[in-house]
Amino acid sequence: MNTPQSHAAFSNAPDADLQSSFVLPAWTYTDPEIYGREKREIFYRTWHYAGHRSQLAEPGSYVTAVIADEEVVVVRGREGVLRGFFNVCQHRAHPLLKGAGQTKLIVCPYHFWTYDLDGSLRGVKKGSGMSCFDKGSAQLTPVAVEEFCGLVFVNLDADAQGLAEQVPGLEKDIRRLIPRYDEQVPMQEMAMFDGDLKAGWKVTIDNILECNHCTNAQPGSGGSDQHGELPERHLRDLVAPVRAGDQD
Amino acid sequence: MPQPETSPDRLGDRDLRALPSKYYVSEGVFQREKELLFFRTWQYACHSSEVENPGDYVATDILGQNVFVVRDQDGEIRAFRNVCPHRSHKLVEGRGHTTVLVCPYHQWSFSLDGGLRRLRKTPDSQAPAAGRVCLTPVRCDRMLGFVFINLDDDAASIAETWPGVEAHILETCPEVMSYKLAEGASAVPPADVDCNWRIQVDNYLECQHCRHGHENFADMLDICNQNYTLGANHAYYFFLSAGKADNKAYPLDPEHDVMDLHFWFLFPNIGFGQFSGPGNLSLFQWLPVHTGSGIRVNASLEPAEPTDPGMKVRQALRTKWGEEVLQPEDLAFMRSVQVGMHQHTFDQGWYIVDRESQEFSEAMIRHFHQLYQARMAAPEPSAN
Ligand code: FES
Ligand code: FES
Ligand SMILES: [Fe+2]
Ligand SMILES: [Fe+2]
Repeated sequence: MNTPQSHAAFSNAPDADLQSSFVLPAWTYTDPEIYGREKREIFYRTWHYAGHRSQLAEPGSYVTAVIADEEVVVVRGREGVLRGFFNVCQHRAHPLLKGAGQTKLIVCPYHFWTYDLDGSLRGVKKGSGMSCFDKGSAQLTPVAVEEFCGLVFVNLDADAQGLAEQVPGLEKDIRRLIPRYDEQVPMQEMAMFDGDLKAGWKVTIDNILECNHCTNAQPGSGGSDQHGELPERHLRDLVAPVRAGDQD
Repeated sequence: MPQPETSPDRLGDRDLRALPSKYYVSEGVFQREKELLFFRTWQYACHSSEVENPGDYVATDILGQNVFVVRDQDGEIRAFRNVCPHRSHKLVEGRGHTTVLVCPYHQWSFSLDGGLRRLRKTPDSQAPAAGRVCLTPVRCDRMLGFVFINLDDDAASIAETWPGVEAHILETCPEVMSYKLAEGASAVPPADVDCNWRIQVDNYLECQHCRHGHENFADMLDICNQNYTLGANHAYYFFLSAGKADNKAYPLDPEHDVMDLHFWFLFPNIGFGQFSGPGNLSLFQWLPVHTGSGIRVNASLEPAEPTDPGMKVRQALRTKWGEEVLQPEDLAFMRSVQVGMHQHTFDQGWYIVDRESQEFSEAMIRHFHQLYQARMAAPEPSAN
């Protein structure tokens, strides 16, 4: 593998001319500095799936999600508004909620600082000789939340363009192509493609963006009755050897 | 004991902001801590009974700087860099006894006071004169029978660094001088703690999390009765015992045991504590390994003779409780805080300061952070 001479070389790697273009250089799949930039420029500024509408139906229901090194929580407020926050206590940085569930207030397990579902600090344990501070200056930091086709997305960039706006027409297409879409609910069993793929995220996406490899590598496709397991194994078999370092 | 009062009357928002999170995650900060803190402060090396006789030695290190402590022929405890002046091989490993220090590489030998005794050569070899070569001494001092070393040759003595603390510990726990190093203590390896060393110290310096975070511990204490004082370079806090022989933590024998709890923090990374139960004094040393991981060294003293036939059993139950209950509870909190410190949105937390109640106060953490920042003063480290 060639290591980068300079990151400038990277900017003109995929050629505009399709006839003579190369794929992204290998080092962009393994370089830790690239991964750092990907986090800042891509993952922390784009929309990520956090949960399904049905998990957030009632006031006080919440889900948590991890985006690279960041953790967020999405919670439905008492008045029904869906909000998202960085899942970290303003006191001394302990994470707040775990997994998914239902709560009246957001209570930090370390010293019991308590936040309202709108992210404002409600209570701090204290004694009588306490120095007070303005509670308004210690509220949870919001993230953007958007429900799209019944799926709840978050974006760490509070000023990001809305998801529906970024993909005009997609919602219509989904509803047209997937009959009775709104009646569908999340699978109860393990999801089909869950788990550690042992491959960088770009390798995985490259793989799903082409089906050049489908006829050779997926002998049982279509005819098999192990339908749930097969695509996942297929994906893993294909991407693991092209292993792109530990980007995930 | 001198007790300069830092009196936090009404603190403004600015004074209540905790140390910024970059100090808990940055590689650059870690490098500066080595140079400015750990290589310039008193660090625990061993207990004096581990080098009881002339020729006994213990090898140790401070963040990779190798040192050994040895008792010389005159009975004096000395410390040296554990590196041969010939071509830098390590001189001694682990602990042991010797009359002469012989380097394993080319067999240069040194006496216990660090002077070169012999180097292998022929009469015609050109080699440095014996008087020109010796081991590099390291500052060495003692407190309560514990041996400390300091890589800074110009450092103030322990008595000047932590004035009055030794006397205060002896006054509070008068039995300590008759205690010995607990059986098997030398063989206990340090505990790995996967968070920044200051998260360990911060956690040691507040008991706001105790009532709900250590329910059984809280049952043993009279939890409302705790308080603290801040010293120039240390802090002290205590909890009164609830006096319950049967409690949710471990059994006590009020007739033979010490009941109240006393803790000292000696800046930057040493703790002394007396827990309820059979007589004891524990030394803690919190050290970084990297920015997000560290170790906890623990050396405990115990009565030289059992105070009563049940003492060993009560001691064992207390140890088991520490290992299986208290430490895992704290570890879970501390690991989570480390994760939180990496979140980009978390820049800086808050101190809760309460002059009347240690239970609600983080004044000691604030004091620790202020001493820390003064020591680290110089341009702000950049986020990493
Ligand atoms: S870290 Fe959340 S209450 Fe202290
Ligand atoms: S390095 Fe010690 S004798 Fe050569
Ligand atoms: Fe050799
Ligand atoms: Fe604790």
